[in-house]
Amino acid sequence: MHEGHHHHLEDFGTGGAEAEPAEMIIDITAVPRTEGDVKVHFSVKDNKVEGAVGPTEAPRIMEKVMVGDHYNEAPIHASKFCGICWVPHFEASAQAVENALGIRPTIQTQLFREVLAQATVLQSNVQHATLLSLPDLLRLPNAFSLATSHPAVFAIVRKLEKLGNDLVKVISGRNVGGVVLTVGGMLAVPNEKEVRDLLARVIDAQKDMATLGEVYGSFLTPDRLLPFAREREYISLSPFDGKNEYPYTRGNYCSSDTGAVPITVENYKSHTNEWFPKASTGKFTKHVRNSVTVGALARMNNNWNHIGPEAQALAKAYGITMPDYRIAMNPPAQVVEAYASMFELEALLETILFHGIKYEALPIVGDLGEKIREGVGIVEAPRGLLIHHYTLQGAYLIHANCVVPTGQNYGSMQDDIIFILPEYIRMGLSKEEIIFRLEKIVRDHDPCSSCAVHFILLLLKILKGK
Amino acid sequence: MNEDIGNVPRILVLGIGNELCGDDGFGPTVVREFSKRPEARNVSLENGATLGLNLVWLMEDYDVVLVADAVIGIGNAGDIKRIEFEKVECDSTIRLSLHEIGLAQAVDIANHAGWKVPKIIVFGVEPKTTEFGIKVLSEEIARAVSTVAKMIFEEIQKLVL
Repeated sequence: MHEGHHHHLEDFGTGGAEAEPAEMIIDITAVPRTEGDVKVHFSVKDNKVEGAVGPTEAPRIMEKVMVGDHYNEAPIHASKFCGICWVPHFEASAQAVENALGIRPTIQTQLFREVLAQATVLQSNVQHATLLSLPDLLRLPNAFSLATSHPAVFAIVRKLEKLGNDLVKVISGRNVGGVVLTVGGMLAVPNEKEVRDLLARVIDAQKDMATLGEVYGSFLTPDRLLPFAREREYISLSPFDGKNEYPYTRGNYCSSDTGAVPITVENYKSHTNEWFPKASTGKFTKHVRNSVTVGALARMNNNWNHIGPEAQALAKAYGITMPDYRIAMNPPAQVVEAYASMFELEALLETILFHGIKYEALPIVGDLGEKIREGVGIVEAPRGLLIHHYTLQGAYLIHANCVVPTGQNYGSMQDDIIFILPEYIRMGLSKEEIIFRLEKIVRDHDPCSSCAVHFILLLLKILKGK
Repeated sequence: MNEDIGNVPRILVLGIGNELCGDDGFGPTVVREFSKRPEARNVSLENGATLGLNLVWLMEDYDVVLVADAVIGIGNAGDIKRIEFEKVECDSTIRLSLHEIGLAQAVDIANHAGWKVPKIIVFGVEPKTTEFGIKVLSEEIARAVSTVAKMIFEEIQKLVL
């Protein structure tokens, strides 16, 4: 609960209320309606903007939790990092272990994992775009008021969320932290009837998703979106060579500036460049510019040709252009992705049924001895690119590093604010309006600090010690 | 899910909490303990973990939801309290995020939207520590696990008979 929520914006103008403020301090201690608290602190003096965006929580040192884990335990612990996007954490973790051990999951397992990823995108994107972001467009305080003011929207959201939930539950065995998912494969598989029922529900819900897409589009006017364009570097997965897919569970590391490369243990650090800005408690990343942007809009920019004609048409109806450098278009891009995922889910479930569902024995892992092995797992969580990197000695983890989406996006939020704040001041907007717009910039990135706050103190200690 | 036979209520036993956060793992541990009992076959069991708003869709198929959860404010570490959820009023001026949607908020959103909310009974235990990174329960809280599993069993007997 946000007990200590307060915002204040002080100006120290010398010429009375009407004059341009000589100095302005903006201090938002916890941006509401974001996952985990995000704080924003900026000062403006002589048109120079300085400040930072970062998490407010104490670091959670997630990676430390996994050190000492048997390789089979790491994905189980990773899937408990976050109740909302546990699936991508599981998948990145399992992939890192599998790459370290040279295990390749079967096609059936890969298809089921892709269904789980798409179901998570459906759930998470719809939740954020409607329950967390739509109140910004309608200037409502929260999802409570949305439930009362737009019950029809809420009813569709509920149906889609329940579908996403049931897809995850039937395939993984649980709503959270699926019990049948494991390194290399699945301990149990759903039966044909269960998958047929899910397929029927997906097909039935496609019209609901289309209705939601249409209703959502009616809210997207410039006076509500408040869009501005800042040229930026988008980072996401892109499909492996020769594949025509909008990638969530496999692919190359793709930058809108430098193109796509396969990610390896050797090169991932030079692409993510994690760093710790003095003014923030967050772990940031950068590539060729000062900051990168990840998430739905980044994926769409980098993979426009792979999202499918129906989704492209919806994106165009929303006014999304390619390239689109307006972060305000990220929530609309989330709805477009959720719409596309409904077609993908149909195709994936049909493919699974066509091939027939069978229980497959797990790959046999021999004696691993004491040898050091490393592996990187790279997937798209709904909020953006997610990387897990593990070092194993024999069967046990001796080092773990996770690069999470929001850590990558803090720099983007910060650069957006530095870019637009002088303009907002020049426009003579009220203090309340400036705070609202800056909070909206943060929320448009769909930050989730609960997994972005980690590892920092530990690493700072190590750095200091050196 | 158990079949709806006559007047027998559909019952869900739900554990809430994160097992990586010390005593917050109480709920999931109780559900695991309860699952060993033969009567667990007649009800549905769920580990709600940190489901947030998804709790709403999870609960709507049931008539009664029995929840095991770590609840701050009951008393000393390990103290147990049975709490019947009547009407929950949350501060609707709070600008919620999904991680902040606990049971009370999920129920309140469902009420605002006019959706069916089951009868909810919470079996809470006062936690000692909920610090992230601790994978085991404190001694006092571990002792409460079997007691609460038994209380849930007795509650089900009362509901079914």
